[in-house]
Amino acid sequence: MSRSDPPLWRFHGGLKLSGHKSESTGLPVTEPPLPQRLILPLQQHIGRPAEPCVSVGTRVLKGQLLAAADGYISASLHAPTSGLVESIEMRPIPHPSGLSAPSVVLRSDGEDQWIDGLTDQDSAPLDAIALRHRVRAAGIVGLGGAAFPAAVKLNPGPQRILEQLILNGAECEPYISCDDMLMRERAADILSGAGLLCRALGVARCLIGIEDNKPEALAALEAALAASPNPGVEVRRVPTIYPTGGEKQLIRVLTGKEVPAHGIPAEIGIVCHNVGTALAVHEAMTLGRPLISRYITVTGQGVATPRNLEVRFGTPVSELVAACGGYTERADRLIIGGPMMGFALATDEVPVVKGSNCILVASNQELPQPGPVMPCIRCGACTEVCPAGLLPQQLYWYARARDFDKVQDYSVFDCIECGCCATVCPSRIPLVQYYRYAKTAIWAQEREKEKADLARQRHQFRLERQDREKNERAARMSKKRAALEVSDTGSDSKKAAIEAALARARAKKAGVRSDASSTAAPESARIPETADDRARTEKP
Amino acid sequence: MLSAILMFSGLGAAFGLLLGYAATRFRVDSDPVVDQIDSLLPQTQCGQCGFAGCHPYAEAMANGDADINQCPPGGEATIQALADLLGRDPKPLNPEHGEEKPKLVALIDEKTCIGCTLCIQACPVDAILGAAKQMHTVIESECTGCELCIEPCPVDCIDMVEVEQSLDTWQWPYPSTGSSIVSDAA
Amino acid sequence: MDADDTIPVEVAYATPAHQLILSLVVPVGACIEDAIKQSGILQRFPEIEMDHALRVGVFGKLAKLNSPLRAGDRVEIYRPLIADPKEVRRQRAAEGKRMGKGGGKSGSQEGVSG
Repeated sequence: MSRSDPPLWRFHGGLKLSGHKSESTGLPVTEPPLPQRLILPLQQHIGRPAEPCVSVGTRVLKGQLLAAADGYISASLHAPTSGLVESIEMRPIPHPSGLSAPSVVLRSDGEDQWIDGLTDQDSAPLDAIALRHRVRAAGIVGLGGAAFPAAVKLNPGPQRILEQLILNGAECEPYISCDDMLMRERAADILSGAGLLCRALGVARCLIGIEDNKPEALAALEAALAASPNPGVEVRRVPTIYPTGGEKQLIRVLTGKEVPAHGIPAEIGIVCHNVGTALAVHEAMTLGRPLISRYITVTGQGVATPRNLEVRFGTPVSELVAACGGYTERADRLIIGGPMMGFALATDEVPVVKGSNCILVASNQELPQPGPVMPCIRCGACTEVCPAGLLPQQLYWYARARDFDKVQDYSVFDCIECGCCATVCPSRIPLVQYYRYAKTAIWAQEREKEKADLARQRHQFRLERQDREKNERAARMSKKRAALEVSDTGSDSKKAAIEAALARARAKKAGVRSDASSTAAPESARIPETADDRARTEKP
Repeated sequence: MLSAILMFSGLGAAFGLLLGYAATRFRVDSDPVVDQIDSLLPQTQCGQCGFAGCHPYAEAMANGDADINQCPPGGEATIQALADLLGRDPKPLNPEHGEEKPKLVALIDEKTCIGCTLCIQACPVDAILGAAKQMHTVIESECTGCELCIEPCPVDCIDMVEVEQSLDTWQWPYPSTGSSIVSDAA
Repeated sequence: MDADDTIPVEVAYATPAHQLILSLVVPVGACIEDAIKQSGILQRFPEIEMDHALRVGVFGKLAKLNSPLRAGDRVEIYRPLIADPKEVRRQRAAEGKRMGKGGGKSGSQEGVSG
């Protein structure tokens, strides 16, 4: 490398972990056999679930829209192969809850036939808005794991002035190597995607951060950059410290800037995307292809041949494992994601989705069952390693006591759940579990509060409406009385009674139409009519 | 000029009327203590406390006519919050008013509903959609689980059911403190 | 001035699986049909057909499509009963079950019992 090493910064805390990357980087990326059935959850992203636009029995082609983004923060979903929409039903999804969610079940026809019109496209004339729309139409979400709709991140709002794009190729979590393989194999396309992202954001500068435990990826990107030089783009080798791949941490390392607490990077002029997202943008712009597959690492001692696969969304985890030689007898736990931030799957029948980056079939030796939890000895090790600069011990005490006000005072929502604190805790306290519990409990409380506020409004409005109806009834009655009194002036009481009956009938007819206008009735005439109503309503 | 004067006097009159109307209409809501208490109540409007809804119960508490442990839907959490607000000692829920139960919502059996509207009249929060001889349907997201619709139904077609968990409502469990765990109570 | 010419209303439709209440503002003088059309609820539920068989109302009371709206009104689109009320009553009588208050009469009962 010819350029002198640029300055790098450090973030607070973090851990040096053994990488376990080489296990899965020995073989080139391959595609597993085309699955018979793909299960495509309508919500594979942060935001509202996509709205299906196909019905059961529809024959679809590869790349065809299955479900459209519903609202701004949402993402479209496309068919990963051609076939028949077999059902749209609840299916188990990869989620820590183990819950099912509405999914399109697509039966493959084996033809794998692309939809027409997706030939090479010229992205050169597209402006920022058109690029953003294409990213949205292609259903692209952040492929680093959070699966936030990418088009939203490309629209920082008119008042924010952006300076640079940061491409995240850090891939800091042990065992995961899909971004590594992607950078090795698709470096030129990633750079093309980076250029398109810069154009969409209106920035000229792009830093690509890669941890120094991935020399092949670094070399591949350097070479690709040398082949098509771009003065705005720089590849930066960053030290391997978990969790450098966290958005705020990588920004700190590369620029020395701190993203404000509770804030987003755009507030300091930066937008951060994963290298996989850049590749997806390249494919969408230059080939017109929507996001239908991704690289996924299948690794751990529990799988025969750990490697990376290019997998269509909706493929069951079992088929990924089968494509890697199946389970070994050491297979103990099935984790989706990495050992630090992933979660256990109850079944391998769940499909992989846009946010899935790794299937870890861990042996008991790799991920031993945690030992007994001991009391907190207030050693402060958790505080030393927290990359978000929080006070994990305080958070733990308050989450444990369910003191949600205090948990928020201590910024629980800035916790990125990286697991550093729990890893170093000598008492093996499941700290992250406490923070996760507190976060979802706070959300639940907020929902309860909103629901209670709505119920209060509905109830009040109902009481007012009943009041109004009562008054209107009273007004109608008093009108009748008034009519009666007028006719009462006659001397003959019999005649008067007949007249009164006629008047009542007339008033009843008229009253139906013009009830609201008769509020000027004499007070005295209303009393007897409302007494009954009043007795009814005054009952406590 | 004249039009401006007219416009402003018109506006003045309009706002005056509006304020006067608002003052009479929302008169009862002016007590901030009552509102504070009311904001802690679950707004189920079930009447189990012995009052005609949450706001009347809040008023009674503010006047010292009711205790803080009369709300079964709010349960322990509400009692604690009321105790904090009013500077009193928390006490267990008064069993005379009922017991704390998991949150349920009403569900109408469509095969049996005869469209009588009695449940609609009983629902304190307008959470049932329907009219005479039309299908009645509970709006699940607005049902407070007060159970006031159950009793009036002449054909017993309303059941209280658990709200199905969804991705939006799922919560991480409180970390288990199972047998292998040494208590770290300080 | 906008607020003077418009009123807030809601349009609602419900099935056991799916309930939707849409909030919108309509011009003063708008009728039920106007609100339904403006709300877009017909696009969300293709099964609703705006024909003579459609029953609509406001807060539990049947009304005509051309009935004018007032602020805060909830326009409700109804679905027909599945059961035949007479048949249900007959069956319950046969099973010896008590038939509650008989129903059908709409009064101004308070929602909250004392």
